[in-house]
Amino acid sequence: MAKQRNEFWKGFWDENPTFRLMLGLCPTLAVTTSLVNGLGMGLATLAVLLGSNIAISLVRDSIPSQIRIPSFIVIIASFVTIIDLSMHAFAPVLHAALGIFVPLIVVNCIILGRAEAFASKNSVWMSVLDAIGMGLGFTVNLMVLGGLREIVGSGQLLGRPILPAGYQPSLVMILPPGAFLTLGMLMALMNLISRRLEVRRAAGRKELT
Amino acid sequence: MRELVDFSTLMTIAIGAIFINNFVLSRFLGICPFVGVSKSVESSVGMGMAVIFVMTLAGVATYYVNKVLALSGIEFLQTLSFILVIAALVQFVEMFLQKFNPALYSALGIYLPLITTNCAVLGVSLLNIKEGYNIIEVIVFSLCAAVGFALALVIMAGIRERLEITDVPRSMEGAPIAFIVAGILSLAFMGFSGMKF
Amino acid sequence: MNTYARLSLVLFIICAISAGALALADAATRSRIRANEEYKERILRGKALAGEERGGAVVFDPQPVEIEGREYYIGRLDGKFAGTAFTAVTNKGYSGPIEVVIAMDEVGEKIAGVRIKSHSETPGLGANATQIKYGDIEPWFLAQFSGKEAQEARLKADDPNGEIDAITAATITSRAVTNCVQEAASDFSQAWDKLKVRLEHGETAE
Repeated sequence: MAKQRNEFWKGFWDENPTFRLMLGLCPTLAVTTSLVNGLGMGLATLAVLLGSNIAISLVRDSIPSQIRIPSFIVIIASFVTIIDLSMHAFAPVLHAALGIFVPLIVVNCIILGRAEAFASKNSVWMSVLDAIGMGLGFTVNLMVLGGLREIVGSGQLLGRPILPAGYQPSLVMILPPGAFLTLGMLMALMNLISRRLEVRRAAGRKELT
Repeated sequence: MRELVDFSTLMTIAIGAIFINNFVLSRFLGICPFVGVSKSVESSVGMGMAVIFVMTLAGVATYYVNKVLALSGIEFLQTLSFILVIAALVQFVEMFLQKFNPALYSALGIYLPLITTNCAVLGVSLLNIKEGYNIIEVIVFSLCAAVGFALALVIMAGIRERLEITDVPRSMEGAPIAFIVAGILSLAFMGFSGMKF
Repeated sequence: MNTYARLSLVLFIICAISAGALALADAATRSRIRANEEYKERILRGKALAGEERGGAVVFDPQPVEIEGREYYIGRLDGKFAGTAFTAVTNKGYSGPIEVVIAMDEVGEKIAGVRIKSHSETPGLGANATQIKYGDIEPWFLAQFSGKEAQEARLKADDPNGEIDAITAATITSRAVTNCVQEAASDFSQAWDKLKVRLEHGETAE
């Protein structure tokens, strides 16, 4: 049970795809101009990851290792196209806002990375946990980034003004530079926090001995 | 109907792809290699060259693949076939270089496999179709987008070599400071926007 | 069986299954996607003609009337002729072409309304052309055009007769849209003469 819990939660902190593994950065930076866009992209990626992880762990024993990578890419591309078509049909506004970054989920390194490192070696159940954990971790990252940029860049959240009327939105945060700056700052913050935790844990250990 | 070769359009496409909508700094395509391979100028030049080579070929190849798909009415296979064409192309270029130009291969070889999952390559293929470019425009756009990528990569590597010997706060070392620098670079590149030909 | 044949066979099977699955997905979504696109176009024309709230109530004749290469859609509210909607494109935008849907009123004189179909302007600047402020119903910039005559559709900064306020820090986008509307609305009077004849000669287009 502890192992399962770990497979699920690792995506949020220890192996956070964005801040620790630095995977899938293109969509992270490109579509996070608002909270809603971040959420939509995160869920689309989660859906593809879940589908590909399940499919790959199901067929993992029948695929010869020489053609592992091309097979994975074909499977992933199929799921991406299915999600792309479904979004176009059922969420056209979001589909238009995310643009070419929907088909580009194919080359999101998180998905091929999980396929190669996890789903091809583990049971279906574990791969599902892994996909949901990693996918949700990624979604949360995109939402934090999108939310922060939306608040600072337009003074709104979900299209509603939430800052006092006198607030002058700092436009640069919605523009491309804002994406890099926000991500850099968040990474530094995360490093700072884990270093503090490390120090505290080390101090605790010293007291015990 | 638009003419096949219209120099002012081509010029606008070229400048747009290199500077105004720089692939890395404004469109956010190819961020992974941008962060991963920009630690030294030497490797960034190698990666840049490899990308210029593959991206131009991929742009042209996927343009014709898309024509075939559109003729057969199976555009829903676009993503799947593009990524396979790119993967095959990279493999082919690798084998070709290994056999006929070992010197170039030893310089670019290690970067080639990384290119398959470089979203800039698939990105340029999709953008070519989305913008409805003709074949000449496809060549110019793909080439210039790749040049823009290489430019951003080399500039970034130059800055990061200096950052290595600079005293930055410990939490900001490595990736965080690289992103801050990228943000400032992106701000600088925004100065190009609004240029018209 | 030799290795190569086996490898290609496995890869082929995977590709075949994928292609089959995608063909199914495509068949399941195709009509819905097409309906979406058509709905989007129609609703945009409706909103241009009758405003954000009543836009959905406008019924357009299925076939547009083509005059000098431009397609004019005849809109009706409650069965009565309510105005004409058409699309114009400008290349003067800040970062690419802007497609503008323009609607003229039922007497063909004044602009009934304007909507933007597609653009690639900077988010937070030029893209504010379609911004609906919180609590408002209509996008404020485009709402300025409603009820104006063609020559009034100019930026206040450009023309003493102009009635349109530019978007803060996005003068190029504002000017591109405004001038596009102004030109298209001025040209409309010629097309209107022909359209009027068509309308009087029987309500249906053919």
